[in-house]
Order: sequence, then structure tokens, then C-alpha cells
Amino acid sequence: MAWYPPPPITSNSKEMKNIVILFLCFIIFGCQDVIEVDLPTEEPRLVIDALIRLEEMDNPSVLIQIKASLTSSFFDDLSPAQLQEITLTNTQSGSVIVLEESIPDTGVYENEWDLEELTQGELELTIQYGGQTYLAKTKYVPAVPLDSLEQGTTTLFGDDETEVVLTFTDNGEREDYYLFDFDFGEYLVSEDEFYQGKRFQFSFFYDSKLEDERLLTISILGIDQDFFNYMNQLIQQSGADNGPFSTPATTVKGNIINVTNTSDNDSTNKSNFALGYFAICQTFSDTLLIKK
Amino acid sequence: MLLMGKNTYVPFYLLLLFSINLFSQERFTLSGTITEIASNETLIGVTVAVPSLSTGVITNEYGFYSITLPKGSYQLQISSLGYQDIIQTIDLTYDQKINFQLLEVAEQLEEVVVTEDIEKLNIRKPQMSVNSLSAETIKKIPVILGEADIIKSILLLPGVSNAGEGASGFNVRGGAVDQNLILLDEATIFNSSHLFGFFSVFNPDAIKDVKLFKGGIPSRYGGRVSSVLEIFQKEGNSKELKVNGGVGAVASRLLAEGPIIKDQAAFLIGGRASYAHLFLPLFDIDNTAYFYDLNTKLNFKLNESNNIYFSGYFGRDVFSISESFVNTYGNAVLNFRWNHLFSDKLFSNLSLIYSDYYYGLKLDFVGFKWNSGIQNFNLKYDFKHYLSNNFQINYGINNIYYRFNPGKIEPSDSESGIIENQLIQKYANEFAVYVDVEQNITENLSMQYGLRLSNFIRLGQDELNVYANNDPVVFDPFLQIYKEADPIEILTPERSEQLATFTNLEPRIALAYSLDPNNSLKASYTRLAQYLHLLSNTSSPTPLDVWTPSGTFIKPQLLDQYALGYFKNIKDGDYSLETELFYKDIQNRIDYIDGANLIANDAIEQVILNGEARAYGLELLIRKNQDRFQGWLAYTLSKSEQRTPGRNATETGINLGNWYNTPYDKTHDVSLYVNYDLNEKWSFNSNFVFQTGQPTNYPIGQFQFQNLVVPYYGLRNKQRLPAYHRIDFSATLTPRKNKGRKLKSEWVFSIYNLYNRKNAASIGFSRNGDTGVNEAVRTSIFGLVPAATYNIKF
Repeated sequence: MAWYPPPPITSNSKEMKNIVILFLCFIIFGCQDVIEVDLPTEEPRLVIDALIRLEEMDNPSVLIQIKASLTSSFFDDLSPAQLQEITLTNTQSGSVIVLEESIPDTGVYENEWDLEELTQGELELTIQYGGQTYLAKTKYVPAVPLDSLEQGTTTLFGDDETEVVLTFTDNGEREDYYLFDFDFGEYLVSEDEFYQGKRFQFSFFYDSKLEDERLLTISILGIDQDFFNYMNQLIQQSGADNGPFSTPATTVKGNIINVTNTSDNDSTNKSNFALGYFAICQTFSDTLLIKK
Repeated sequence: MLLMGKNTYVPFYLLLLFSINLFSQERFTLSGTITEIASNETLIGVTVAVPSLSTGVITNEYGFYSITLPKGSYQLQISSLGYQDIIQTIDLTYDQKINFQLLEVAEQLEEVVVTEDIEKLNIRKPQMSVNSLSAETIKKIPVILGEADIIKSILLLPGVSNAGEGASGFNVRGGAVDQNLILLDEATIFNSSHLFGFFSVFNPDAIKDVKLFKGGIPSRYGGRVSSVLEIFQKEGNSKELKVNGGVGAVASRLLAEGPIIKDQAAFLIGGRASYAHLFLPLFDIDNTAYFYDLNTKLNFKLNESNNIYFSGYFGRDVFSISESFVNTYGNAVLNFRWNHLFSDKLFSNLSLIYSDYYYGLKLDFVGFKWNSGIQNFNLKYDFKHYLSNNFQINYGINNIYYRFNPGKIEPSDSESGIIENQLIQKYANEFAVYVDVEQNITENLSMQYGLRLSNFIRLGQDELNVYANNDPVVFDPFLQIYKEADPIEILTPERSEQLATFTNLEPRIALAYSLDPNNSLKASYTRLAQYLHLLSNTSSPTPLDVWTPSGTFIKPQLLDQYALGYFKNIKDGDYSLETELFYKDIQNRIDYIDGANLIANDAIEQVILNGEARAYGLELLIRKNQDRFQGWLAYTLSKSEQRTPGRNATETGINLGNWYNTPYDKTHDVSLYVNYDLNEKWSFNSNFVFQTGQPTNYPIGQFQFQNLVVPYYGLRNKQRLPAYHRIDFSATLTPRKNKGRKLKSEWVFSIYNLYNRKNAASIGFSRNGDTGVNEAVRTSIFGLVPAATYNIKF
């Protein structure tokens, strides 16, 4: 578990309370242990990871990679999905590109496209899978670069943590939402409501001490409000449970819709939804070498 | 309160020899106050019985009684649990004022003869769905870490449960935690627990009387739909200085009370503080978690007809992780009350109350301070009119003005990048007027009926959002999800403007029919309106949760409760059996759209939907009230569910518009409490608790997005945690040398969760960071916890 800063960044009061529970466990007997549970299951569902990070804005050509996979029961392994067709369309310019699986059975569909197609106008992602058609729409969202990224020396809850300190300056002329990728599957989302146009600094704590000479790659991505809500929920759902303070369990639906035309009523489409998200985000990354 | 005929001295058939002719006889009133002889503390619920007329009355919350009888000579029997009875003959030929002083039986050496017992039920009172607990019982029930606790004690009663260990608040008859009206000396308390539910905010040494109304709620109460927990504290010993205290494993307490002017004015001051955090530096932990609370009271008996009381309560919880994260929260209450007797039949109490609930957070490493809270000013004027011994009418008014601060964020130092922001403060006024009649219709039938008229005005605030079609939540049919709507306009109404007004009539009726002195049937119907809502999207409340007033977008919760009960005293009160069936229907129960974020949300209306809730069940309570071996067995079989359908045919609603279990639905709830007095030195207490596991959500699958492995879920609250059960045990040692000594001491040894069962407070699903394998992780809070407490009084 990593330590997330509270309210202005995201609602991680649950993290705070996780600390409370763990802390109070020090003075009493009884805590956390792994147990066996019988889980309900359902048919595997399509999952599309179509988060396109645009980093090098001077390069006119971009390699787009979209991953298709299937859901599985919680204790089983995940597997890739084989799509019948996957295409990207720019509705403004009318350009279309088809993505292909370069290495078979990986579920990774890719192709090269012009940067301009991805940053101007509205993009549509169309997928054919299992006799169903899925559609997602999005637009490019810009971000701001990281001003600095440093290793800190303080710890929050114990000696095991590593602190990194990030600084960036928000663009005061627009409403921004950000996604931070801290490597190791650690993410954070934030909105600029509390620091609009200002230079903002905050700390992030990795809950285990990272080895000496470890290279971290940390990125900031520009996202829109819908993707902010999506990632916020995803982060909460994937985080460790926090006892009575958990947020209610939900199925986080993304923006990929089943648009198959059937003569039956819509309920088949409503229940046959795909998971995942389609977004195009400007990304700035920085690396940091961790020193003990 | 009126009661009919139950007494142990005069056999029932003899009462029929006296017939009462009401028309031609003169009637006179006997009234007065009943106090405890050693402290002058007023006694609540003392029975003043006139066996020859098979009638009587009990003292009210301020120890006052008034009974009007035909001219004549009567034997009065004054009795109360734990006190020696008084039998006195009076000649009632004029209106008389007689005050009685009762002697606490614990002071005596002879065997206890118990004739009236507040914990034994009263067959003939129409009051049903009420449980009373004496301070003595509360102190005996073994609880976690040896600290006596009111909230943990009421959990052992039927129809009362909570959302699990570590969850603050309690649930009554399938109701939510914000639906309990908690009154401490007439003042409303918003958060009843310290340290996230481990301790309650009530100091057991200061408590005089506790009553929990689960249904059949009289019209003098309103504002919360599920229950009323009424707690009265001691006023202070006006005879001599007394101190009592205790030292425990986690917290200690000290209480001092004494006279300011002997027999006329007294003070009481009591405090508690926890100190477990002081030991943490030994383990190299730089964190603290502690609480403290302070109770102060002053009372003045101005003359026979006037008493005034000042009281203050202040409690705080402080939790910090190193110095960079500090969290402070708690209640503060200031209360002025004036009892005035307009006549020997008309008792009144005026209360003026200020109450404040504060929550603050300071985070240095992000650079901000946060505070939120709720303040209210409350005026209550209650009258109890003892017209005759068959007819009592209570009436009064209650007005509360609220100010809600959902949160203010400020930078914690000059280098912080945080901009100061005040979430819109909300204002409201709640007014109620009530009338409540307690009447004995015939010798076997008594009724309590009344009407409460409540009115709620949501006042203007600095900014008010206006939405297209008045819909703050929109349904996106393409994505099939609910989303927040953007306001089309922002208004700035004046404070005095009325944004929304609600008026509700709340009829109440309860009746009791006694089949014979030992068997009765009771029935009640209650309608209640609740104008405040506690918004929390965690499964149990946290101090971060926000109280929100009803308004343009949030309608008041409206409840109808029907209850039917059968009550029986067995072996003349040695055992008793109570069983009740209840059904509750609540309109306008709010639920949240998926992914709703309530923290720091300035526009709550954008993430909530209106729904309904219902609960029904059967409660059973069997008590043994006599001898060395006493206790009770409580069993509740119930269902509590809610439904939030879509607002029209195209919307899905929450959980596809189907009924789903509330997070606190517990099918079976069994509590067994036993107390055994071995001898004068040792007494033993034990609890056994068994509950169906709480509803929860298990993932029906998982998927990967970027580097996140995410579980996902099906319909809400369909699965259940494993069943919860445990046994607690405690032993109280009262040294023989206490007898005759001024300084009395006792030791209480307790063990919580005797067989160390790992009861799941929750089960979470996540990927193990080290092994990369998915796991189900059970969090259990209390295993076996031994404790020792040393109590003294002098």
C-alpha cells in the first residue's frame, strides 16, 4: 500500500483509515490474514486497454498499442482476447486506421499513425468481438510538464517508506485533471480545483524501501473529467480493502459501449458491456534514481 | 407516566372491592419530588403506587410525580429497583406536597427484596418497544478493554446491532445509524463514539438513566426515524463531596461531585482520558491516538417549584501520524435547563442548548488544513400536565436552528500551494409542536396517542446551484451510468429566504390491553419525519461523513412503523417474556450513484438518488430478574433492505432497481447475557453473541487496466461475511474490607472474545504486492483481549 495525500488530490480518506486500523492492531491481538473464499463467477468479458500516451510531440508519427484481454474469476489467470477487427477513426478528418496483432495470441493490437490524427478532432475506436460491436469516443487532452522530481527523506508511517516529491505548475486557463503513474502499478488522480494556475508540490510514499540505484519512471498525464472519475474508482477498487471504511463495491464501467444492432430488446446489449477505457493523453515523464 | 395495578402486596381480587365513583367525590392532588437520600439526586422512574385503587404514577425525568385521587386515606407504596421501599399512609384531604427520599439498598446489609424493577417490564404501560438499562447493569456488562459502555450494552438488546467491530454508531430495527436520536440531558449528540467506535462518548460514572425507544415513539420526540436513545446524567450530590474513578488498561476516569450550598446547589465534574498512546514511543512508533472528555454540571434548587441546571460536555478525539497528519474531532454541548412547577399538576422544563460537532484535519506534507462541522441552537419547552391518574397530557415545542459547514480548506503554511476554499455553508430551521396523551381507558386498556407537527425550512445560502429540469443527476443512456450534471446557473439567495419548506403531521398511537396482570398485548403505529441525512458512502460512518439538511434536491425521510407485541411476566415477575413484530417503511432514503465521491463535495445533490427502504422482523426477549443468577436472552430475526429504482423507464436505477440488502442487515442476532453473584466478594458476568454475517460484495471477476488489477462486482450486497460470534467474560472482585469503609474499591477482570475467534470485519480482494497472487484478505479487529480495571469511590 502506498500513502496517498488526501482530499485535494483524491478521496483517499480510506487510506487514512487503513492506517488507523493497522495502527490500532498494534495494541490488540488480531489483524489481517489470507483466507479461502468461494466466489461467484460469470462469463468472461472483453477488456480494452486503450490508454494512448502521447509523449514525444515533435515526432510526427506515433506507434499506437491497444491491449485486448478477457476478465477471469478473481483467483484465475487473465488471458488475452482475439478480436475480429479493431479500427480507429478520426471523425473530423475521416481517416481510418486498422490495428493488427503483430505477435499472435498476445492481444496487443498496434499500428503507426500520424500524430496530428490523434490530437485534432474526435476519435472513435470500433471493435468487433464475439459477434458484437463496441464503440468508444474520445478527444486528446493536454497536460503540463513536471517541474521537478526529487527523492525526499521523510517517512510517514514507518522506516520502510521511500518518499518522492513532485512539483508541477497548473495551467490557470483551463480546468485540468491529471493522472500520475508512479510505476509499480501505483497511480494517483488529481483535479486542479484547489491549485488552479499555481505551482503545486506534493509527496508520494512508496510503502516499501526501494533498493539503491533503482530507476523510477514517473509520469503525469492529462485526462478529462470522465476518465478522472473512472481512474479514481479503479484505484479505489484495486486498492487493499479498508475494513468498515471501504467504498462500496461497484463494477467500474468505462467508455466502451456495446452498439450491436439486434432485433431483441436492448437488455442483451446492456448486460454485454466491455470493460476498460479509451483515452488519448499528453504525457510527460521523468526518471529518478533512488539512493539509499 | 401512568400505570395500572401491578403490585406485589395486594392480591388482584381485593382491588375489586373498591369501586371508584368519579362524579361526586372531591379530588386532591399529591405531588412532589423523589430523591436519593445520600446525594439528593432526583430519581427517574420511581413508582408511586396506591394499591387500594390499583393505580399509580412514576416519576418523570426530573424526579417529579403528581397523582390526583379522591379524598380519602391511602397507603402509598414508593418503590424503585435498588432502593428500599417506603410504605406510607396519607390522609388526602387537601392538595399535598410530599417529597420522598429513598435509601439505596446496596448500602444495607440485609437481603435485597426487589419489588419494582425498571428492567423488568411493566405489563400495563402502553409503552412498548422500549428498553431501559440501569447504570448498574451497564457497568457490569463485560466489554472490550474493560471499559463500561452504554452503546456496547444496548447492542445486547433485541433489535439493536451495529455494522461490525470498529464501526461507530448502532442500528435499530434495520435502520441506519443516522436515524437514531441520541439525547444527552435533552441535547442532541451527533457522533456517539470515540476512536472510530471503540468507546462511546458517554462516561458511565455520570449516567443516571438510559432508555432506548425502538418503536412506539411518543410524540414529544422527533427528527430521527429509527430510535431515541435518551440518556440522563447525574446532577451532582448536594449533601457531601463524593469522588469516584477508575484506572483501566487503555483509559482512566475520575468524577467528583459535591454541594455548593448544602441541599440546594451542587456541582459535578467528570473526565476521562485515554493514554495508550503514551506507550507507543517505547515501540518506536511516532503516532498517537487518544480521546478525552469532560462533563460538568451545576444545579440549583431555587425553591420548591424551581430548579435550574447548567451542563456542559466537551469531548475530543485526536489521532496523528508523526506530526504531519493530525486529525481532531468531537462534540461540545452547553445546556441550560429550568424546571418550573406552574401548579402541582403542571410540570414544565425549558431547555436552551448549544451544540457543536467539529472535525478537523491538518496535513503538512500536502500543506493544508481542513475543518467541517455542524452547530445548532435548540430551544425546547416541555409541559407535563397530570390531569388525573387516568389522564396525563404532555405538550410542548422544540425549535432547532442549524448551521452546517461541509468543509473549509486552508493552506497550513505560507509555502503551501493550496488555495483557501469554503464549501457552501448550509442553514436550516426545524420547528415542532406536539401533544401527547396518556390515558387509561378502562382498567384493562390504556392508550398513549399524540400528534407532532414538524416543519423544516431550508434557508438561503451563499451559492445555490440551479440545474436544467431541476435534475442534478443525469443518466447517460449511451454509457449507461449516472453522472453529475453541471449547474446552468448559480443563485445567491439571502439567508432569510426559504429555499424549501416541509411540513409533516406525525401521528403516534400505542395501546396496551392487559389480558390479566401477567399478560398483555400491545400495538403501536408511529409516523416520523427526519430532515437531516448523514451522507457516507463507506459501510460504516466515519468522522468525515457529512450531515446534510433536506432541501430542494433532498427530501425528508418519512417513516411508518407498525408494531405488535405480547408481554408476559412469569412467576410473578421472576421471569419475563417480551415478543414484538415490527414493520417499517421509509420513503426518501438516499443512495449514491456508483463512484460517488462525497468527501469535499460541494454539490452532494449531483451524486445521490432517491429511493425507499423497509425493514421487518421479530424480536424476542426472555429475562430472569431474580436471585443470584440473572440475565437475558435476546433474539432478533429481521430483514432490512432498500431500493433505488430509475426515475423513469429508461434509467437503470441502482442495482438495476431491485431491492438489495442494506449494509447492516443481519438475519439472526442472538445475545445472551448472564450475571451471577457468587457472594459479597465475587460476581461474574458473561455475554454470548451470535450474528449472521453482514452483507458484503465478493468480486465476480477481475480485469487488468494498465498496471492495475481490478476486481469487479455484480449485484449489491448479495454475499455475506462469515457469521460473527464470541463470548466475553468478566469477574468483579469487591474486597471485604470495603464494608464500613469510606473508600470503596473493586477490581474488574475481563476477557473479550474468549476463544479468540477472528471475526471478519471485512474481506478485501487485492493482489499481493510481493507474490503477485490474488488474495482474499480478512480484516478482523479484536481477537482475545484481556483487561483489568481498578475502580474506587469515596
